[in-house]
Amino acid sequence: MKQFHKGKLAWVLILSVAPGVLSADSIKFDFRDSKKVNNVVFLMDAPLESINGTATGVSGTVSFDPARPAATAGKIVLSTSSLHVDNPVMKKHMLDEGWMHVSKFPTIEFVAGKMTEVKTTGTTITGTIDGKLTVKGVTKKVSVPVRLTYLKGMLIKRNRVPGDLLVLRSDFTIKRSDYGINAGNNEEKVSDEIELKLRVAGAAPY
Amino acid sequence: MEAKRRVNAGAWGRGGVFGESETIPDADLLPVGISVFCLCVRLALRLAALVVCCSGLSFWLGGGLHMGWSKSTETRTEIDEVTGLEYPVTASKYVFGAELLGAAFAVSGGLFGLSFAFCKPTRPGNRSGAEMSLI
Repeated sequence: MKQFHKGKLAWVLILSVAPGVLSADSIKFDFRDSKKVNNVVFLMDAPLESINGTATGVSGTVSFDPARPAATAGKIVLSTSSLHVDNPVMKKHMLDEGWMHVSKFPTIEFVAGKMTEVKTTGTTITGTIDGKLTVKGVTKKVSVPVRLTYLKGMLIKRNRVPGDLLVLRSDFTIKRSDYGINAGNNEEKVSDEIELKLRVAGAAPY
Repeated sequence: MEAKRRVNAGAWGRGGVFGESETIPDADLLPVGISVFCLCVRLALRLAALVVCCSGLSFWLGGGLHMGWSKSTETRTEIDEVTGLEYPVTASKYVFGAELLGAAFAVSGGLFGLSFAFCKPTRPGNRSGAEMSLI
């Protein structure tokens, strides 16, 4: 009789806890950042000239489950008008019709599909995210290496609001010819390969 | 003594502002005004060349010997204490670029070269153009 009660109690406990575990919702991190810490650095090393610039107009959301990092998905959006180089003439050319055509293509988007080759070390998760990158209206499938750092409860130190932080770092290269960015022209001054360094942190207040 | 003489003034620094086969007063009878005018313009041009050259060089040195194009902003990198992320901080600051240094040198060289056009005309049988340009 006692054993029957113990077994029954165990089942009650399991059934009461299970839904919580099974539906352990992914945490939704918002990457909009008023402090402009979130940034993308772009580097172009051509034979005649090396150009580097930054962009800070990052937004978007990513769903992340610390227990199942492979299920990480979401979208990072970069405002094209936030692209910046220190030379004013170069910046004007870059944003103009011939290059990024900001008025027609105001955003650059990366949609994360699935994460593979996941390796977890403490709070750091490395892997490859397969997704779709849209630049200047051209969408291509890309696989980018990422390093995620889950900082539980650290949002209060940054924004004075209790919550979690998710730091995302990724370095990858694209070709401007693939996305129709003045393809085939001025390659001696502006290289075809664009090295991108994504450094963003998302916040998930409790 | 003849009052006027044709001057061989083909090259810069010899004929000066007076074109080839232009008739000018004889050296001995050269009006003092023209000579002084040429001397003043020549000195002014050379002084301007020196000022442009030195200004360009000092601006470039003051801007930190920047080898790239001129910049209207300067971006430095800082680190976010909580996340450890490196992020750019852009401040308005004009940095003199190598192209402006080159332009300053070119203008300076041009002014210096132009100054040779304001040398005294050659005085055949008297002094050479090189000698005259040193005066």
